[in-house]
Formats: sequence, C-alpha cells, structure tokens
Amino acid sequence: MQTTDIEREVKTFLINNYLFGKSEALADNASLLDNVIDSTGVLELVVFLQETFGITVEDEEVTPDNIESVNKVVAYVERKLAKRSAVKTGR
Amino acid sequence: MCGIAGMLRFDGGQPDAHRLEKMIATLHHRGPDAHGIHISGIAGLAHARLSIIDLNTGQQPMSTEDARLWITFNGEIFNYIELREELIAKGHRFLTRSDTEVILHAYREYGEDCVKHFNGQWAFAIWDSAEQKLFLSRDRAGVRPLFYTQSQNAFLFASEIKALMASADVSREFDPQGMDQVFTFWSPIPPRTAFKNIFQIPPAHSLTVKGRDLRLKEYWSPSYLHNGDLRHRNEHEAAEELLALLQDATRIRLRSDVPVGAYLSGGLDSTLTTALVRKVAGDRLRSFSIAFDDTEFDESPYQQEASSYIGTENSHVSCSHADIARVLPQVIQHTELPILRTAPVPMFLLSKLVNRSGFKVVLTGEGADEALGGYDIFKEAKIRRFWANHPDSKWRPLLLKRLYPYLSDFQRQSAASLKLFFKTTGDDLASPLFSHLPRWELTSRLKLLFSSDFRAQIGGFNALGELETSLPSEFHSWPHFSQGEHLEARYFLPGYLLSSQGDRMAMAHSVEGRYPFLDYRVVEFAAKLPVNLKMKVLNEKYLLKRASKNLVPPSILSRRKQPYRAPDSRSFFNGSSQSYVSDVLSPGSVKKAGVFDPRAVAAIVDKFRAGKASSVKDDMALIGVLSTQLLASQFTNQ
Repeated sequence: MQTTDIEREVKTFLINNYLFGKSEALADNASLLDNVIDSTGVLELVVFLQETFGITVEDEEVTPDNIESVNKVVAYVERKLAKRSAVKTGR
Repeated sequence: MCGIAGMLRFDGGQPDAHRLEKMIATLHHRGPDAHGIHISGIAGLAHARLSIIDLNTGQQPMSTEDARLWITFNGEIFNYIELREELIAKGHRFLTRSDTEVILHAYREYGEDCVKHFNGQWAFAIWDSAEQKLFLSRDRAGVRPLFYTQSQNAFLFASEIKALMASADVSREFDPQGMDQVFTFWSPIPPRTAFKNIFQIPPAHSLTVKGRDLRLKEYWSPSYLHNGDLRHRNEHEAAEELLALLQDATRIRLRSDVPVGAYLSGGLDSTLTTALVRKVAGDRLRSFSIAFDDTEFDESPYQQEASSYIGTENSHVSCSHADIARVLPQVIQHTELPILRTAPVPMFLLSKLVNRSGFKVVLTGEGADEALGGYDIFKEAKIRRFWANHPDSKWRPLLLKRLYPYLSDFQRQSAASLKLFFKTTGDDLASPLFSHLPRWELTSRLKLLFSSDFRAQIGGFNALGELETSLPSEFHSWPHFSQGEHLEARYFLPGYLLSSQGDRMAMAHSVEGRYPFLDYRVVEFAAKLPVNLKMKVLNEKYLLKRASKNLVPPSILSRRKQPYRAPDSRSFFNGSSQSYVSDVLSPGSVKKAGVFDPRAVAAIVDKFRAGKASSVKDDMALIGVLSTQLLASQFTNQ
C-alpha cells in the first residue's frame, strides 16, 4: 500500500469520525490529541487501524510518537506493514 | 410552587391586563390551582398558583394592608414561621398564615437585605409603589428560575422564557454567545440565556428596576477562605453536626399543607434524604423512583432495598428507549435550553407519576455531590494534579482507571492511551479552571458542528476566558479542591441540574422539588470542612457516609457511586424512531434554524444510522443537535 493511500484512508476516517465531515478542520501536522480525537474516541482509531490495515495495535504503541498527527499515524502504519511483510517473507 | 410574571412600563402607561393574562397562561403547568393579576400604576404582576401553604388565604398577587407593596412569588420560605414571630415581635400585623406575607413584611422591615433572612427557594418580584421600584430576587442556590427582558417601553419578567415570548414585541432568536456557552459548559452563564435579549437573574442575586435603570446585586456567596476551620473538630463530631443540620434542613422542608413525598434513586443522597423525611415525619411515606428497561442504567434493586429498609411505599415509572424518543419534544418545551444528554427526560416522566399519585411536593437529594465531595470530576482533578507532580510515574496514571467504572469504553483503554488524554501541562496546572478543563474542552469540540454564519456571529467570544475573569476575587486563595467545587456549584448545578433536570421537569407536571442539601446552613458548614473530610484520598463523600451509617442500608453506603444517567442516542436509532427526528435533522430544517452546518449534521446522523457512533462526544453531538433543532422549531422565528 502506498503512503498516499494510507494517508487518504486515515484522513477520511479522522474527518468523518471525529470532525463531522469537515475536512478543513484537519491539518497534516496539527495535534490530533488536542483538537481531533477525544479520550473516549481513541479506541475507535485503534479498531479502525486494525481493521483497515490488518495490523495489531499494541497497548503500549498508543503513544504521541505514533498518533499525535496524521503524518505520525501514517508513518506508524507503514512501519507496522513493513514489519509484517518482513515476517511474511521470512526476512 | 407557582409561576410568576409581570411588567413595568417605562412610558408612564398602565400595563395591559390582556398581555399579562397571555403571559401567565403559558405558565399554567406551574400553577394550575388559581391565576391572579394585579395592576398598580405602571406595574403589573401576575401569578399562577400551586397551593401548598395556607390553602385558603394565600392567593397572589398579595399586598400589604396599606397596598403600598405588592408581591408575586414562586417558591417557599421554609423559616417563615420563625421569621413571622420575629416580625410580630417588632410590631408587624399579619392577615394570613402564608410565607408570602412574611416576605412582604420582611421587605418592609429590612429592605432589600430581607433576602439575607430567608432560608428557602424563591423567585419573587415586589412592587414598591411609594418608591416606584420593582425588586426581584432569586434564591441562593438557583432552585427557582427568573428571566427578564426589556422591550421598547417595558421591563418584563417571568418564571419561564415562554411567558416573555408570549408578549408580542419580544425577540425570538438564539443568542450566539449564550449558545457557545451551552456547547462549553452545558448551560449559559447567567445573566445570559440561549436567547438574544432574554436574561436570567443569577442565583443569590437581586435585581432592582427603577425606570430604565437596572441594578443587579449579589447578596450571598459561599466562601472557602475558611476552609478547614472545622479541622479541630474530630470526625465523629463533624459527622454529628452535619447530620443535625441535615435533619433540621429536612424538618423545615416538610412544612406544607399538602402531603410530601420523596424521590428515591438508589444512591446515597436520596436514600439519606428519604430516611430523614421518614425519621422527622414519622408516619407513612411515599417514595418515587425511575426504573430503566436498559439494565446499564437501572438502579431498581437498590431502590427497592432502600425503600424496604426505610419503610416507604415506593412507586416507580419504567423508562424505555422508546419513551425517551417519544417525549423529548415536550421536555425541550420545558428546558428552554439545548441539552447534551437525555437525563432530563426520565425526570419528566417521574414528575408525571408523582402528579398522578396526588402529590405536589417531593424532597430530593440534589446538592450533596457539590458540597460534600461526591463527583468523579473532583477525583479526576485530584489524580491529574497528583500525577502532574511526577509526570513520568508509571503507576499514577493507572489511578485514572478508578474513575468512571460505569463507562465501558473508558475502562477498555490502555494505560498508555489514558496517559495521552489526561497528561497535564504546566498551563493547565496554572489555570483556575483546571478541574473542569477536560470536560469543557471535550464539550467545546461540538462547536465544530456550528455553521460558518453562526460561528461568525459568535465572533471572538471566548467562553472560558470570560468565565475566568468573572471568578470571585478570593477564588485564587481557595484550595484546589474547593475551586472545583465552586465551579460545579455555581454553574453546572443551577444552570443544568436544578433547571433542565430539576425545576423545569418537576414543574412540567406541577411538582415542587425541595432540597435539604441546598439549605444554606449545610452549604456554609460544608465550605468550612477540611477537604479531606469530603473526599478522603479517593473515597467520595467520606463524612456524609459516616453521618449516614445508621440511616442508610450498608449496601448503599458501600456501593460504587453511579451517577444518574439515561440512554442517549440509542433511543433514537433503534428502528422505531419517531418521525420528528428525521424532520428536524433534515438538511432543510438544519439550514433553516441556522445554528449548525447541514453537512456536519448529516455526517453525524449517517454515523449513527450506520451503527458506527460510539463515543461520548458522538452521543452529546446528536442530543445537542436534536434538542437545539427542537428548540428552534418551538421557540424561534426560524
């Protein structure tokens, strides 16, 4: 999956799920934690990432380094996908 | 309990009796027993009566013998018997046995300071014909509502906004800044309301109107400056004193010429209130409860246990998802405010049961959580502050798991994600609003739903900033715990709990609520208690539990606190939804009302229809939009 595909999927989810469809309210580097996702909504993000990208989000991975902004979420998903394909190909 | 209304003409003319009749007719539910109007020069007073004390001679508007003072009064002065004796000793002569007449004589004796002598729940207006002055006042806690507005040639007041709107020249538009406050604090901050040019007298304030000159004055403010003054008292003594005060607060709240019942929720506060009523009144007691079909919210087993332990005859109303969807429009007609949760709805059904059972008065447990350390928000603030002292602590954030055991989504979160959202910054710590920032910031996210036009009307208004500047000057010297208590007692309690969930739901069916925990002697005593007697570590209402131990079943004393909640969005998208839901949420209706962006509303509605909405914010968004849309259709010129 290309970075742009992941980014598009993530953004669409964030906009529809947390921002009532308002795309203008989402900036690539803005803090999702301050303005987008709320404390009771983080589980939805975890479920979305798992279901959409087939990855497993470990509890300890729910950190600012991984979900603080759109860019960080995309980078996190890429790392997880890369790790998964490395395991599959036996590298 | 009653409804009041009136007007004062600025142009020297006489108020139109027909206009007053129209206003008071809208308050029939508050006072179905009798209506009265009196016009005296430029002032007109109107009254809708629910007869509770002095059934034969308590009619209103009432005057002094010399007809200099006229009053229209909603509420009760519970210490009227003692005040009456005091005033008789000073030479006053009474013609009735009513508390209304006591107010008139107290005003004559003490002037505007008379309110400082009252222990009760009131909203009244006195026309002083000699001074050509209208004096209005609202009780300390804000139990009884009192709204006002000014038209081109008159000042108008009433118990409810609909009575003001019955007067032809009163505007019917949302107030963008009042609405911004609703979508921050859950209610407007007085004197604002949700409507433009319509105001409310804040709790513990009086308003004097002379000509076009309006003067608002605070007459009471609980201070936590002496917090800990009762530290020298041992716990046992403090508990005894609290219980004695509550007992007396209950005793004077049983003064009534009609039978009095009690609300029984199954929690500590209402169980203790009911037990005290039983103890003071002695004989048979009727209690009333809400049962939910949805077991997540139901507390019936505790209610039954409390009822049989105390010895009451308990009746309950069952509330289903369908009931909530069915009566919401009627509820909004009474709240006169958007709501973000459906919790008022079952209270509406409960007062109907009380009314049908032949009762007009119930004692209830509100006020204990604010004054005696009951709320989870106080715990949350304590943990956040405790954690902020050692930000890298691995175990301190885990204390957050102790919060909200009834919110399954919250409990399912990992410690890592809890840390993300409750991590406290230095700026947060320095904010006087620290305790409430997470709640208010979460609610504020709903403002994303506002349309661009409505946001433009709100302009640069900053709800949190304005609140911060209006805090009492000594606020910063209070303990952190008490700062949170103040924010809760001053804003959320009167603005939402006592209003949308209290007076307005009870009076919808002519029922008067009385609140022993809101007796000002109890509130002042609690303000002087050391905070660790209110919440010991994370044990809420520590002293109250101790004071209650011989009156309340042990299972209720030891149960985890479960805040009163009702099913929210699941009531509206379960396959049997009411037709009005689609109507008011349609893009056309949303555009017409002008508050929300139709696209944003469609997005949230689609999310619910698809069964994908699950967060607290989604629930609040849906109920907030739905109630605002209902309000727009009922109250504005949309």
